[in-house]
Amino acid sequence: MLFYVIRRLLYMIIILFLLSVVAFIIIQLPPGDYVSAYVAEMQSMRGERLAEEEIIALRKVYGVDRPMYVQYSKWLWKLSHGNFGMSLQLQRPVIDLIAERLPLTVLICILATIFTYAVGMPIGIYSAIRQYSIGDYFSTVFGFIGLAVPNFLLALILMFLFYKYFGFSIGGLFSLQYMDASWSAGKFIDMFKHLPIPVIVIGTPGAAALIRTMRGCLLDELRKQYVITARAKGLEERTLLFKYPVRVAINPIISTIGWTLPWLISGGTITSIVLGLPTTGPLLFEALLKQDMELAGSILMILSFLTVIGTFISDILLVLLDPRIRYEKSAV
Amino acid sequence: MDFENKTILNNKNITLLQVKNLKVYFYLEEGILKAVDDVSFDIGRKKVLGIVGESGCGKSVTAQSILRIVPHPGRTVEGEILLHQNGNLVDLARLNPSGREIRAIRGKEIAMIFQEPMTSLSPIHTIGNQIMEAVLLHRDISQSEARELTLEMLYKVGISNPHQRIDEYSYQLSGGLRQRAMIAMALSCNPSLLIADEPTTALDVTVQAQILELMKELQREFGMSIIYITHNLGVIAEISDEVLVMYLGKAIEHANIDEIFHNPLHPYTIGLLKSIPKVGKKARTRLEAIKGIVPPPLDLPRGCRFYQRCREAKEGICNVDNPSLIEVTKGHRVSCFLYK
Ligand SMILES: Nc1ncnc2c1ncn2[C@@H]1O[C@H](COP(=O)(O)OP(=O)(O)OP(=O)(O)O)[C@@H](O)[C@H]1O
Ligand SMILES: [Mg+2]
Repeated sequence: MLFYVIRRLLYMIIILFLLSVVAFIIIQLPPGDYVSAYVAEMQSMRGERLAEEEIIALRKVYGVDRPMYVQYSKWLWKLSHGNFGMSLQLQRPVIDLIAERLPLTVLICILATIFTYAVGMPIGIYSAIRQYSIGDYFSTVFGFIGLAVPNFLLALILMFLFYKYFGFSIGGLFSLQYMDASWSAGKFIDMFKHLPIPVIVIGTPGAAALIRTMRGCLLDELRKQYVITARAKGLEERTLLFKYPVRVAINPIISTIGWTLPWLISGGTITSIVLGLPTTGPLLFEALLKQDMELAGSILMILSFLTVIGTFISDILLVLLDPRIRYEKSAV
Repeated sequence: MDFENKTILNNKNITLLQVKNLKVYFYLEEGILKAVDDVSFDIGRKKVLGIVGESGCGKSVTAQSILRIVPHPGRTVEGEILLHQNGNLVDLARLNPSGREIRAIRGKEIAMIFQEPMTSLSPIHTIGNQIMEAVLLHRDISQSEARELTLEMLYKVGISNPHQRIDEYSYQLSGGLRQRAMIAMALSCNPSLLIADEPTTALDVTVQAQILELMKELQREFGMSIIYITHNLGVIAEISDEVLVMYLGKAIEHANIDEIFHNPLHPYTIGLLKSIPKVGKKARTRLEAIKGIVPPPLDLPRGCRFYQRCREAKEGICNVDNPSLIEVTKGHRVSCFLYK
């Protein structure tokens, strides 16, 4: 087991390294660099035209005139020492920008995950044990709608409904008067009023998918012989259900909890833009548009890191939950 | 058990379970599938009843209906299943399939083991956990006593190092060991009836013989009745006192073991006996001696269900009416127009 954990940690480092290469390439992929994006913007927005020398000077300042591999190794070197660099566009340290937004992003993600599981699991279980009942059809329809409706549309619909029936406008995470205020009880309460919509919007597709998965997995398990063995023993139906088939069916689901993390964050980007949420999604979006290398790269790396950690936690959970896998792993 | 008690029980051949006119139907989209159609039989205390018949004839469904675990969309539509329980008579067919009464009988009075030892134990619980669960459910004893009893049961079913095995998972055990663990679980509450639904079919031939031997031994030791379901008449000959032959949801012949083997009456039983493989050949058989295939039990034509495949079939009689099960000689029942 310890050996397994150590090996997994080593893999994680390798994967993070590879991801940094991929992140770097993706950011560099569009033609041009930060300076050319900046120049183009100056030109189109303000009609200013920069002189050739100026542009060369700028390229030197920002270091984009160096060869790719030099840029990459400098970036990686800084990153590995905990230095995330500067945002070219906003002229602020990346670490500050992220520190402002990451906690809220993580909070929304965690709440959305809880929402996903709190809704998806019970409905999925119900659907399976009452297969072909009205409730099952209902949840199937809900599942398909939840999957098919794009996040931003759901966000708009919910915003409208909340505004219409609860009477408060829900964009962003804070009301105007708290926007720039420091933390207080009032701001806290205000935030919690704003949280349901993003949490529901971001959590719904996951919940819909989970209903389908849970239903499918549990239906498979319910047919298995060991369920009948348990019933023939004289166990009560509900005890039996939760001790045996549900326990077996949730293993693969728990093992994918970690994978939902990046999905929630990327799914959250559009929602966040629509809802005007101060999360990392819109920041990343903006940074990618402007080819703000160090900012975009840092956010991508942090997201990758969370993903890898999430997967790691899932794998460990699965090993703890499923003796078959524990056995396999310890045998290797 | 002291000597006196034993003789009393032996002398008094009391009935343990009576199945009367049992009908179990599956309500499918394609129609009503009569998996068990008017089957009656008795089983005495400490007796072993073998049930034989080709695949699909309703052996398993009969067993399931005794425990009231027939899967959806199956339903027990008619009949009585009378369990004689220390002086009382309980009609299992009347009980609510998920109610308290039947649950108190399952695993306690009537236990069951299944064909697939690979899948009949939970993959994520230790075998000790699963056996102790049954014990704790039906007996008023402590956790540690239950564990002791489980160890003892594992030892009795011939598992060599119970102290290690009790905390192992089913995938760590071979098929034979799993089936032994299943038997330990089934017998842990000392049931008066054990239903074994093809317990050796999925095992290697040598392991089959060992398990069969074990069951005979345990039957002697625990004194329970057994309903032993199989395709294999060789196995039936080894273990049974009486035999019930089923065909397409019907009981077609019921007699003691000697009668069945030396004086079979029904043409189907006679065909079955001809299909027994010779010593040394593979014990599982497809019953090639009887020509034709079993028709699906949906929309069955009038008349005897064996009509199409029967050598002795008489037009105008056998395809018009359904023969009922009649007692030809004492204890030997057959349902065929040849014996009227
Ligand atoms: N869950 C079910 N749904 C629909 N039909 C079923 C179900 N279980 C059994 N049947 C039908 O009931 C009939 C009897 O099946 P049963 O399982 O009792 O046969 P069997 O004699 O045990 O056969 P085998 O030797 O293959 O185990 C078959 O025609 C089968 O198709
Ligand atoms: Mg069967």
